[in-house]
Amino acid sequence: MWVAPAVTVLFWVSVATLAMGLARRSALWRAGREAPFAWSELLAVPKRYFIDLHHVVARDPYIAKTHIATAGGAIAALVLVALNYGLVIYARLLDWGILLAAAVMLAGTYFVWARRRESPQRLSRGAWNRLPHSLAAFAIGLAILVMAPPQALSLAIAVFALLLLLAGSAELTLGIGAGSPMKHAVAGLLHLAFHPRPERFSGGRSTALAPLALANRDFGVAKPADFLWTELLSFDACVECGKCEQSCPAFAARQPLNPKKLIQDLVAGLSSSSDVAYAGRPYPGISIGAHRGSPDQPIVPKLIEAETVWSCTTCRACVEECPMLIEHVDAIVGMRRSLNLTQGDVPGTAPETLSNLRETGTQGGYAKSARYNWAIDLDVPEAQPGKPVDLLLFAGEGAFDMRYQRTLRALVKSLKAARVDFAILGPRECDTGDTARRLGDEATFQALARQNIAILAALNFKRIVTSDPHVLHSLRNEYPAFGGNYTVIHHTALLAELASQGKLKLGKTTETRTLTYHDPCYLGRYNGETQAPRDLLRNLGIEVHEMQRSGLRARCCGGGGGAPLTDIPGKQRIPDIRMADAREVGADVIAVACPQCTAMLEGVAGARAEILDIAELVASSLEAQQ
Amino acid sequence: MRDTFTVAALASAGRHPVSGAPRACRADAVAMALGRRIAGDALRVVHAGTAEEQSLQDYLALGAGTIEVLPVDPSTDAAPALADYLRNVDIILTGGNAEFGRGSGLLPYALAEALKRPVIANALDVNVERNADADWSIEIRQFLPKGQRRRIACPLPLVVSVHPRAPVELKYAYARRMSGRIDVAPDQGMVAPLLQPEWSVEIASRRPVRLKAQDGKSAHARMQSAIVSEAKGGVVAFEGTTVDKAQVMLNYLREHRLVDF
Repeated sequence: MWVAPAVTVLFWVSVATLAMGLARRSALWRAGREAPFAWSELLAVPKRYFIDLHHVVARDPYIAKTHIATAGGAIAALVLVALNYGLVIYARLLDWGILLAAAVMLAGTYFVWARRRESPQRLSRGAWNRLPHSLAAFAIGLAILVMAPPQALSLAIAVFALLLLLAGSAELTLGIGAGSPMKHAVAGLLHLAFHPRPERFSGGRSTALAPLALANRDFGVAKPADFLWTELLSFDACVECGKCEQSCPAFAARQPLNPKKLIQDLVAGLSSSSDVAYAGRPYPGISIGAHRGSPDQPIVPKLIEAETVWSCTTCRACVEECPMLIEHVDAIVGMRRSLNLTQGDVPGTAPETLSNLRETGTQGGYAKSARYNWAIDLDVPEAQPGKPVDLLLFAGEGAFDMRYQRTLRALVKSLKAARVDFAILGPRECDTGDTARRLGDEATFQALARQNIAILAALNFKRIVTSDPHVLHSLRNEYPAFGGNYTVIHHTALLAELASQGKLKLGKTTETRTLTYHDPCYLGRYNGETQAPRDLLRNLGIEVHEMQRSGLRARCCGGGGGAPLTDIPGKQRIPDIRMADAREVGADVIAVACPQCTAMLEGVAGARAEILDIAELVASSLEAQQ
Repeated sequence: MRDTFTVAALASAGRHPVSGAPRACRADAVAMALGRRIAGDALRVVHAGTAEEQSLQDYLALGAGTIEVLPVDPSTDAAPALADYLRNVDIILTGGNAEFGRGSGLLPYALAEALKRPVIANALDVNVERNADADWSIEIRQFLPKGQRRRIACPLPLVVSVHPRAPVELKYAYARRMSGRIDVAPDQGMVAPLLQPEWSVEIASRRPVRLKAQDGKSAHARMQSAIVSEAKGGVVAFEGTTVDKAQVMLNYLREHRLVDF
């Protein structure tokens, strides 16, 4: 009978097709810049797949189980086919195994089909809607060919089954070469091996941006070929599930950004095509089909509009949600760097803020000597060289904001109540440059970082405390690349620590209204600190009514990444959306832990919940005790 | 008749009013951007001072390309040296005031005086066109207070001081700062300064204090004069020579004890 040899031939043809496709696609990836990598990383793929990646996918149990069945069944079937037909063994027992695997795969494809029948808005359609059918064809064709006894198999059925198998195999093997949906399987596995941030797989959060070698005239990403090749590979891993677009605050506010479309546009760029075939939701307000790119053409504005790049708040919600572990924010900041450093093209009031940072070391153009004016009557010592202190208070830009000065004063009062040995940094303090860096002004960031590192090197302290998570992130995660290594602690963590050591005797709060806690992105997602603020609130006798999106998956307030400065218009404001989240759980008070969140949420017009920093709640409980 | 015209923008050392940090003088940066618009890459950017001046880096970032530095001792008057150096330039653009040093705002006038050419202050926009004689002429939109604007036509050469609110976009790009060049012009030898008065130095307040006559009017009278658009007194000096008009002004200032000479 000719069926078994036909399957063998088909198998080896498929393997060859896959290999040629991979060679073709990897030539596109290699247009990117060199990145350090080792082939041995391929060995780490199973662990990264089954633990790190599955951890994200499992948040949606339906599709997690569906994928296990479909992909697991397919891989098991392929391995058995490779054994039985690839190596021309033709053992009956293995055929039973293939049947079982194909059945599992078919069950998986049924659930894929069921989901896609009434698919959520976030899913891309187009070629992706073909998948349940082509995969089912593969499973059915394979099952018929390997199981039906030769005598029962009429020629017509055999040919039909072979055609089904051929169609399914084409989907699986042509995917990577043609850039169709199944490329995610190959690119995704390679992406897990050669991830641009391998530290993510060793327990760390890895959120610091990589420094630019400005002296080597490295000015970020102007064209797709300026990405690392590992980044180009990562874009090809995208499965267009739209988890990123669902979590993106700019997209929700109808600003012209959709992280999924952004990644797909970059795929179009690396493969010299246009966005015509894209079948998901567009950037709000920008139609599909008019943009195209190629590896050596500038990305902005032919492939991606500048306003898309400037809409991002760098909140990392997309990165947190992405089941393929793609780094959207790195891509956006890379493109911002090029626009900023080579053309000086930054919208809104951001250029003014950046020149203030260069010329005064503050965002608002204030005198640095005025930064600690709020502490003048609090009798706080100023850090001096040669005078050791335990704790150094680094106030940040919030110190110039009269609203946030209340929080800082509350913090100082709590530190005094706990008899902590601390000092303020005083007029030496420069802005950390966080905003400049997110806006792509790496030159200003590096200059400010070097200034601060020199200032801190002259002082003798054990730890730095700050109430600004943006300062925390810069000092803790981004300054080490420039030689500044500090132990930095957020004020909520410090107060929780003091309370647990018994140094700070927290009373019961007088706050009886319904309270919710808004996680700052730069504390939660960037630093993984979600527990200390909640512990502190519980110790105050406050029950936190959690919003639907909280903790590591909290929604951004809209204040990060210089977004309030670039101020790209949308249909709604991001803080209004967050305020609606709080209204949904009936909160009258929103506890916050960041000057940006305070300013953004207090900027919501109309009736709204009161915004109180956790430091203020702590200080008022101390006052109530006296 | 000439095929082309030459444009130079003067770049002075700027200082931030709060921190005192070196930066591009805003007014000069605006003048430079305006010059770039009319002359493109042919614009010459000239700084009288030293090549080590930190603020020149900002001009490079703002798109100066190449800065020609005319070595001048910062403590002396730069006008004679600049006049000598820019003798063949048709259009000299400057800001109204330096942010550092004397900052008297006299430089455009001293330069025009030395080169014997007209000076136009507070330009918002500059257009250079061929006129009927097939030579170049310039049309300038000039800033006047209270939203008024004036169009002035003038033959070349001339000196133009640009208003800081001229509608140009300043774009700071670090890559341009790195690729820009600073060339030092050969020392011309010191020309005797035009005028070297005695200066008394005091710390400048952020905004200039406006000289205002004390009026002994009651609050009601002040309110009336603010809401009723009647003539508020004073003299409109239409007649006479410029010297006569200046005398009217001087009389007014003396009468209200705003000057003491």
